[in-house]
Amino acid sequence: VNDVRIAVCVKWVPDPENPTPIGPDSAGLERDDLVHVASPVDLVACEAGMRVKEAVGGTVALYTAGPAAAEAGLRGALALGCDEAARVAFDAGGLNGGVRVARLLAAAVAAAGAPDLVLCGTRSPDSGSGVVPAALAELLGLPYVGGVVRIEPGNEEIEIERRLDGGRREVLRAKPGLVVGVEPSLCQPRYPALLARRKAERTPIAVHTADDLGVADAAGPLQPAGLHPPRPRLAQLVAPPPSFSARERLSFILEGGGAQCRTPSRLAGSGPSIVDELLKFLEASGVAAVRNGVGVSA
Amino acid sequence: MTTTQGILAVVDTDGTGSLTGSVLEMLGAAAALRDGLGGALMAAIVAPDGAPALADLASRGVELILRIPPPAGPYGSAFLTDVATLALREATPSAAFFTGRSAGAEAAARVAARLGWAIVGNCSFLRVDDGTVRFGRPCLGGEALAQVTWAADAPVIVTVAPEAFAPAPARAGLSAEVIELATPDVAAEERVMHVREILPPPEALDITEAEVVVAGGAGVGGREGFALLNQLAGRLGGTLAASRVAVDRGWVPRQRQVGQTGKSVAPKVYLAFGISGAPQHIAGIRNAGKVVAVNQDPRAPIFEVADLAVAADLHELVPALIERLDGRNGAGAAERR
Repeated sequence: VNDVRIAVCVKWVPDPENPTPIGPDSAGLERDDLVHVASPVDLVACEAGMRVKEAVGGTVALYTAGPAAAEAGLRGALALGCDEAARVAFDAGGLNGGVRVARLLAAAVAAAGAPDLVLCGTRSPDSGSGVVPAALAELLGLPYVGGVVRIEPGNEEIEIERRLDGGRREVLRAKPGLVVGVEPSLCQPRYPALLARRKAERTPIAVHTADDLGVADAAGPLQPAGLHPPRPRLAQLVAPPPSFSARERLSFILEGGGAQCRTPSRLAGSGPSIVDELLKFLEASGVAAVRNGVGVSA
Repeated sequence: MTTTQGILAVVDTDGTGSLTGSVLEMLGAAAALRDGLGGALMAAIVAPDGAPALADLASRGVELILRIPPPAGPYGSAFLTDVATLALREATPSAAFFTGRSAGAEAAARVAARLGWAIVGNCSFLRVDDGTVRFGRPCLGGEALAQVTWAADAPVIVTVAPEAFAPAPARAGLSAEVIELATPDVAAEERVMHVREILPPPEALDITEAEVVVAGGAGVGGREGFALLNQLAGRLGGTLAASRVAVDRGWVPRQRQVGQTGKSVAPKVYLAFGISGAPQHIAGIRNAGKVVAVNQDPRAPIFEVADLAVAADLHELVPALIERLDGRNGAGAAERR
C-alpha cells in the first residue's frame, strides 16, 4: 500500500500530571484553573502513526474538536513530524458529548478522503469513557480495535496486538480502513527537535465548524451538571487502628494511610496450609486462570 | 414529559452463557433507574431457547426478555451492535444499559452513533429526583465526578462502570415474558482477522497494564529471588514489579518501579513480597483491587493496607507456591522462555 493516509485524533484535556484545583467552597472543582495539554495517550497514537508512515510511506493528519486553545496541543503533536492538522470548533461546556465529538471528527476526517488508518487513544485521561473511538468507527463505517499495544505495518496488511482480560493478548491482521485505539504502553513519543517545533509553529491549522462540515450539532437531552468531589468509598473512611500509638496514628493520617486501610485476614507460620489459603484467596479475587507460564491460552 | 416506556438492559454473556458479574451490576443499575422512573425492566440477550440465563434474568427482576437465537457461526462485536440496534428499535426504551466491558462498551458507542442517541459512558453514579435523573462518571483520573442531568425526554444509552453498582439480587417466585426476535445476519468481518491468542511473558507486560502484579522489595534479597518472583508472575498471568529499594540496588529495571517516584499501578491483585510498605510505595498501589502482603515482620506497615496479610518467610513460600501451581496444571510444566 503506497501513501497510506493516517488520521490521528487528539483530545485537549486537563493535564493528568497536574493537581486538580479545588474551589474555595470545595463543593465544585474549578475547571477554569485547569492546565490543559494534548492527551498523552493521543501523542502515543501520533508516534504510532509516525512509525507507520516511516515504515510504509504516507501522510499523518491530525484532528481535534475543541476550543482555539486546543491548537497548542495540535502544534505539539505536529512537532513529532505529522504533516497537517485541522481543528473543528467545539465547546461542550462540560464533559458531555462523546457522540457529538465523534460526529464532528468523522466529518472532518471524511472530508479529506477515506483514511487507511485512524488512530486515537483508547480512552482519554480525563473522562475516559472510551466512547469516541468506537462511535467514530461506526460513523466512518470502519471496524474498530481498541486496547492496542503493538502495531506492525506490512505491505498489504497491518498486524496489531490488543489486550484481553487476564493478561492475555490477541494478535489480529487487518486490511487498510480501520480505527485503532492505542494504550499508553504502546510506545514512547519521540522528543521533538527544536527545528521541528519551530516548523510546527508555522504550519497552518485548518479550522472547521459544524456548519461547514454539514453536521447538525444538537446538544441532546443531557445537561452538564458540573464536577463534584467523588463519593468517598465507605472502605476509605476508616480511622487509624486504636492499637497504634499517638505518633503512629498521626503519621497514619498524614500519610493518607486511611485511604487504603482495610481489615486484613492474617496468616502466619509456614507449611502447605498457607500456600492453600493464598491460592484460595487469589482465585476468589478473580485471578482468572491460575496456570503455568507457558505461552498458550488457558 | 417524564413517562417512560421502560428500561432495557443489553446482556452480553461474554461467551459464558451465564450472567457475569458485570452483567449483574449493570442489571442493578438498570433496576435502580427503573425504580425511580417506573415502567418495565426489559433485557435483550443472545441465547438459545430455555437457556438457564433466561430464568436467571427473570429472578433478577426482568419482566420482559427479548431473546435473539444465536447465529450458527461465530460472531463478534459487529453482531452485538446489530443485535442491540434491533432490540432498541423493538423495545423503544427510554434508557438502554450496556456493560462497560470492551465488547459492551463498543456496541453501546456504535449504537448511540447509529441511532443518534445520547450516551453516558462509564457511569458510576445514578440518582433520581422527581423524574430528573442525575448520572455521574469519574473524570480527572477519578478525582472528580462529572455529572449530567437527564429529564427522560429523549432516549439515552448508559454504559456501567465496573464495581460501581451493587449486583441485582436474585429473588424466588419471579417470572418474565419472553419474546423471540429474528437473528440478524452475521456480517463477514473480513477486514480484521483473528490470528492467534497469546499469553505474553511477564517481561513483555508493562506494570500499569497487568491484572496481576507480583512485586518484591528489600526482603527479596537479590536477583535470584526476583527470578523466582518472575516465575510466579508468569504462572499467574501477571508481571514483575519492585519497590524503590530493589530498583536502586539494581535487581530490577527502573521501569518496573512502583510508587511515588515510579509508576502507579491498578491491577486486580497486587502481591507484595518483602516490601515493608513505605508511604511512597503505598501511594503507587492506591488503585489496586486486592493487596496480598507477605513479610516476616508482623508489624510491617504494608499489612495495614493488605487484604491478606501473610507473616511468613517469602523464601519458603514462593518456591512452594510455584511448585503447587505447576502441580495443579499437570506435571512437566515447561519454563516460560
